[in-house]
Amino acid sequence: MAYDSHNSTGSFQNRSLVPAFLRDQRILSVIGQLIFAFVLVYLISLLWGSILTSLSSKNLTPNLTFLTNRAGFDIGESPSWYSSSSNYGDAFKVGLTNSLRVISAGLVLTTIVGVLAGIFLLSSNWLLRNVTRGAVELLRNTPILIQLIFWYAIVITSLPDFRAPLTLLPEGRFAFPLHWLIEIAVVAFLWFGYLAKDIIGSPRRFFCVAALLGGVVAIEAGFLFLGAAYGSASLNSIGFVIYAVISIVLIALAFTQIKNVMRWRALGLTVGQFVGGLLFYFGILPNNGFPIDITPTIFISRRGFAFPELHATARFAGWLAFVAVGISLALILWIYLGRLTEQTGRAYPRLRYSILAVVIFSVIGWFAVGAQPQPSTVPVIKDDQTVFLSLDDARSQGLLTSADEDYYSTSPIVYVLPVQRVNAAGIVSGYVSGTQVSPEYIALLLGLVIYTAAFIAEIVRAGILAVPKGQIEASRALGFTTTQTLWMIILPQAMRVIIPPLASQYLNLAKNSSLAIAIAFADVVTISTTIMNQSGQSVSGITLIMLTYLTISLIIAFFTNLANRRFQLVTR
Amino acid sequence: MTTINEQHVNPLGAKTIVSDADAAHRKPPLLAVGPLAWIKKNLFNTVGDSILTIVVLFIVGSVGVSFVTWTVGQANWYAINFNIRLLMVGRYEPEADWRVTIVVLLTAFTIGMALAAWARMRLSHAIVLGVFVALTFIIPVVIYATLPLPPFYVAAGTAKIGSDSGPVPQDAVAFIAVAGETVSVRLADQFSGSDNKLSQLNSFADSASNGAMNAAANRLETEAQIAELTRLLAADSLTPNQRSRAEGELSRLEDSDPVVDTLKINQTPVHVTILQGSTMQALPDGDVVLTDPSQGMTVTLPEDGWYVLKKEVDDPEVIDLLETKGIYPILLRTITRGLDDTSSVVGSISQYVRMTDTFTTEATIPSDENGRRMPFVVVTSNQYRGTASFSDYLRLYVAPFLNQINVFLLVVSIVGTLGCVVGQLLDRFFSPSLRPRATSTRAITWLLVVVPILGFILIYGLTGDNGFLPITDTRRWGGVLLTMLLTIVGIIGSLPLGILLALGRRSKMPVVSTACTIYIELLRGIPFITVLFMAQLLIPLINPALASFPGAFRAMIATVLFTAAYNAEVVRGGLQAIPGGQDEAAKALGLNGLQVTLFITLPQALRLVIPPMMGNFVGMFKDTSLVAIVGLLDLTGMAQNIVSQTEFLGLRRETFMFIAIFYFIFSYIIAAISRRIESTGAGQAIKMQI
Amino acid sequence: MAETNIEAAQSDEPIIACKDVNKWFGEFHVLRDITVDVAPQEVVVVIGPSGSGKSTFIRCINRLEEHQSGQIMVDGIELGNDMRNIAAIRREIGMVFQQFNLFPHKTVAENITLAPMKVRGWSKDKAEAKAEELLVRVGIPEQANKYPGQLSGGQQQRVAIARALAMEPKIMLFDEPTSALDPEMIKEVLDVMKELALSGMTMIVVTHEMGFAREVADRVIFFDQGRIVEQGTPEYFFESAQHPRTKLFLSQIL
Repeated sequence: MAYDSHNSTGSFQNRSLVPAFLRDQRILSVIGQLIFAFVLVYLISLLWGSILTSLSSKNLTPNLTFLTNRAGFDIGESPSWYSSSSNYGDAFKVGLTNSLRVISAGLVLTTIVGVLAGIFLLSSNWLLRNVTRGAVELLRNTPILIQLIFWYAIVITSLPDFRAPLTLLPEGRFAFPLHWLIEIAVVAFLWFGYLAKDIIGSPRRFFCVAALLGGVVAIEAGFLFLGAAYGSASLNSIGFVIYAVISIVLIALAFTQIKNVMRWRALGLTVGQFVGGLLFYFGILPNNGFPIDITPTIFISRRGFAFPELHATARFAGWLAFVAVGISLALILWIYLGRLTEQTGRAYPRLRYSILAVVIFSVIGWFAVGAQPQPSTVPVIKDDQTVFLSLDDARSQGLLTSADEDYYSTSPIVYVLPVQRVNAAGIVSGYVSGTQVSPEYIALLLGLVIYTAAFIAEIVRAGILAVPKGQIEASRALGFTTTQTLWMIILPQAMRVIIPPLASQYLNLAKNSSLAIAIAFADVVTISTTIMNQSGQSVSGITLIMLTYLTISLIIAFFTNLANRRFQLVTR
Repeated sequence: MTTINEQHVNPLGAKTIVSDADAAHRKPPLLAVGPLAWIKKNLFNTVGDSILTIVVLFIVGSVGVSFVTWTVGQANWYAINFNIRLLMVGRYEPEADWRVTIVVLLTAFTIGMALAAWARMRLSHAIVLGVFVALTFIIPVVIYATLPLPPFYVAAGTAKIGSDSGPVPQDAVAFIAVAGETVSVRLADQFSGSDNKLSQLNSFADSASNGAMNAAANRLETEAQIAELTRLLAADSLTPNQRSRAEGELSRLEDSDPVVDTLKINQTPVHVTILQGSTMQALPDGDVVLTDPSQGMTVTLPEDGWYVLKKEVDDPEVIDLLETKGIYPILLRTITRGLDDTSSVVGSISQYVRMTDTFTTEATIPSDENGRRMPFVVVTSNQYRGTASFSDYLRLYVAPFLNQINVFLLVVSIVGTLGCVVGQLLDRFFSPSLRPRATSTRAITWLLVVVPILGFILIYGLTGDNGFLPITDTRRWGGVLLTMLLTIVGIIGSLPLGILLALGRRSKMPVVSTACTIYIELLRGIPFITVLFMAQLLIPLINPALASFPGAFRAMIATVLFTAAYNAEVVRGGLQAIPGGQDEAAKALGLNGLQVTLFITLPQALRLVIPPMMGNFVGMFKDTSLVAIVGLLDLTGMAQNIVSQTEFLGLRRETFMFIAIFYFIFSYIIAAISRRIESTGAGQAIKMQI
Repeated sequence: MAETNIEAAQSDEPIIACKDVNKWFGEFHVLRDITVDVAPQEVVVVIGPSGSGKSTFIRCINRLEEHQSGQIMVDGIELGNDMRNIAAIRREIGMVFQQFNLFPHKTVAENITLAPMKVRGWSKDKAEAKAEELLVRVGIPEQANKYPGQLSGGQQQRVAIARALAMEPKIMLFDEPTSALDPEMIKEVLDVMKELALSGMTMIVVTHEMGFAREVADRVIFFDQGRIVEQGTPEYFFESAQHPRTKLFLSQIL
């Protein structure tokens, strides 16, 4: 009633034909929302209803029971438990694992590459800066799909055939030339014994560096030009004359140009170089040094990479106990020494001591576990009968399986190098051992890492540039070293600017991993598409994919938000 | 000029000095400025820096050199030259080409006017453009006039080349030529008993002579391998493992006689005849027995069309290698179109295209008296053998490429310049002096709205089959055309939707803002490819009638829906950056909520977000390549399609390099413009106001 | 050996000795033949129009800028390219900037203790005790656990002075410490600086505060176009300066 009278008195409201409650902002808002919600729900139910009708007419009502149906297809990149008789659910799990493998490795690698490239973008070296800039621009402005195809169909296919793979380290017998060893020793002696103490920029120091380089170059050049003939060299060879002249000039310069006590050191060194060179020249000291046979640890071919594999043996658990003790001791040391440093101000190298504790206990554990005697005889199956043989006999007769080898090994971890399988005709047909990674995985990883790194580089650059110059000046004025400035002043402040866009790049990497389908890597999308094509369950399939990526996105966002909170500044 | 004032010596002994402040500035020391100082400071500042410079220089140098070597020597760019049309417009109806042309010209006009309105264009820009376009005309002419085409090697004889399954020379080869061209044939060199020269013949070759050259190259390689293995086994540089493998390999390799000797190349006379394809009669002067390399035959061809080169050798053990000029490999392609100008009957027509230019004939291949079709040299088996010289690279790839694009470039440049000039004239005559670019800015705003819509109508069509502007078949859209359509529809569709979503998310009504937030976060949380799949799979399920809804349109819907979510976040960022005072001031003036948004906050926010929005659009432009995965033939899809055809197998690098450059240029230009706006122009001004 | 050097320096040697210092920014000659000696415990105020090179000059003294010719000796050590010399000199020189340059991600106490702990290797207790003492000295003991972003400009500048003093420097450089402050805050900063001057600190101050110069300085140096135009005791400088440029500058500023 009161409202009514109030309304009638207000001439302003009287002009309106709309009843009062319809002019109330809150009520209007509620009505508007109701209409909005109604329209939205109606549209969605219309769409959903028609999709359901057409699906049920094909007997394909969305459900998840199809996941228990037999898959019937093989997956190139699958763990041993998966076969074509596994069900769709298993296939999906394989896809999920593969996606997560790519994403997790990609996030780590792209951060490393991106930060490095970002630092390159800020380098004071013009060439490095601009080359990186060019690469970043090129990578940022071409579609990731084309880059993936480039890595997969162009780079990976131009790798060598797997019969003659690239190897790391390069296989072969390598000799570390003895004269290198001696040169390194001389350089190190000169450097730490003399040069490092001298004032930078003094003429003496310049001379010494020049003499040092000159001596090394003289020896190297001598070996390069006379390499074939050395050992049987004669005094009238022109190369020898040049070498001798250079050396004598060096000695003369050392004698005349360097004053006081330093003169004798320089003189001794130049003469030493000369005499050393002579010894090599006449073959008195061997050139070849010590040959070392290098077996490759990584094989690279267009069928993928093969890495060494690590096995835990039966003694692994025992060793782990030792390592655990070492780690706990390291933790205690870390905390205790940290306190000690705070109290006394003396710097204790707590990182060094902690690492040392872990290393010492690991080594002790390794030997302690290994000291347990092996069984004198072991049961092996020979001609379908179990017989007891000594370990060496069994091994020499080739009766030990790799599981047996793991079981009877004295060390807690066995490190198995990848070995090529070579048939009788000497032709390579695969690998006997080693962890293998498919070319698709490598191409996808490379493509994602490098594409995302180009964006991260730009973010890192912008973040570091966002730190005011005065901050760096203040820290230099306080006497901090460059490293201290970087870690304590620049990075913590840059992180604040870097993290939000970095987080969105992490999300992009995760989402872009779905492009695996373009190069037939068996990730979530590829496998789900196959499942959808086979079973016709497109709605369920797409929902599964969406849920997967939403979950991954949420997890990444959760962690980056945590990190973001840590670096926020407190202001008024 | 130093005065010492003895009265004011301060207690610390420092004297009061009045020095002459007007002394001339001295030059800095030599190494402090100038190019040397620059080099020292930027490249060799410290020892580490110098090492870095050298390492980077080495890496860049070796990558650069190998890239140039590949581009010139190894790459076969004819996959691009032959497929420019496919890459540009896909299989768009040739009868409707004029529509695309008009749209391109309209776009060029718009861009020209946009430059007039928003950038400072001077005459020098037009001159640079003119010189560039003129060069695309001059360079091919110069190349054609000065550089000869490489010869074509044809083998004659009946001996097998290489192993038993190796190729055998054909007794005749058909080729196409233009009237007035000359064909010359002579015996190639005898290669003086060594395989080196034979293996290094870099040119066109038929499969038999190619086989002979490869056999020579293989033999030389085997020889080198044997020498290398022997050397390794003699030295102490192999592990036992390697040693056993090397020994096995060495035992498998066997030394053989030079190919030149086994095939007895060019040691017997060969009877060469050139026949006219239509009649199978020898041309006058076209019938010669060649006995040694000094002797040759040259024939002028009377008419366009097919000819046949016949070659006969008596000795069955001998191969003769002929070096011919005027005969080149042919690409056979089948196109679908009306069989003749009048009838509407559509059929497949075989076209024969010469590799070295775009000379095309549709005449049937000649056949001999037994009805056997004459073999011809197809590009599939014979592109260019070996490493191309720089002149061959220019003559075979660069000149034909420029010839194909120069007219287009010229027309586009002229229309673009016209747009710019029109814009400037409009300003000169109609703009108020306080805002000298008002007219062109207004005109360009209208053009930006009208041209895309008009362009879409032109390309898609308006009426049924026989009316004005018949509707085109969207399945035939492809290449750059489809990429650009997706991008432009994506931009135009996603911008308003994004703004609505942003406003919705900021709305005070919880239902609306929740719904918008869910939509935005959902779309941002899933990959674009999922949305594309959804559009492809779910749209037909909504209504059976939609099953025939074109894939291109489905992709457009997906692009719009996906990009809108990202645009919404950008716009929301812009809205948040507008200070609250703006909103309050507008309300105080009596504007209602809608008016405040429309006239005050939104325009400011939109101007503020131009750079990040352009970033979004660059991202979308790149992401349109994903439609290739769902089977559309956009630029990427078309490239994949081309390299899967037999003629262009193995030319993936060239094709993808080309399209990558295309994508790069476009997105780099947009990104550069957006950076410029952000650092100078509008963006900065707005930042300062706020 | 270092000990005896310091003793010597405090007796009669100048603690800062610049001889014919020249510096160019590209082609621009910023510092021209600057020759100045500063005695221990002397307070030198540098004034001059903006762009005259006075800031560049004091930034050269702790090598935030490098000079291209001439010689700068600080506490008997020559400033050159040798990293160790630079580090040693920076430990002995405190600097206060126009824009404070406090570390925004560290609390006030952390700002003060960070350098003594990491550069001087003090214990945390010692550094914290020092910080507490210095915060009392600059008059803001209650702000120790706030972040710089929560303080006023004057408070921030006082923290910056405390931060520089925490390193127990022999010399303090002030680069226009009050230019970025609101008028009511200038006094609190100047008071801290006066107190510091009275305690016998060697100070070089670039400032436009003529009152401070008149009251505290032992010597005033006038810079113009990269040169020292005139110098002398405040009484001489403000009353009987001779060079026309000095007179012009003083007439504009006073």
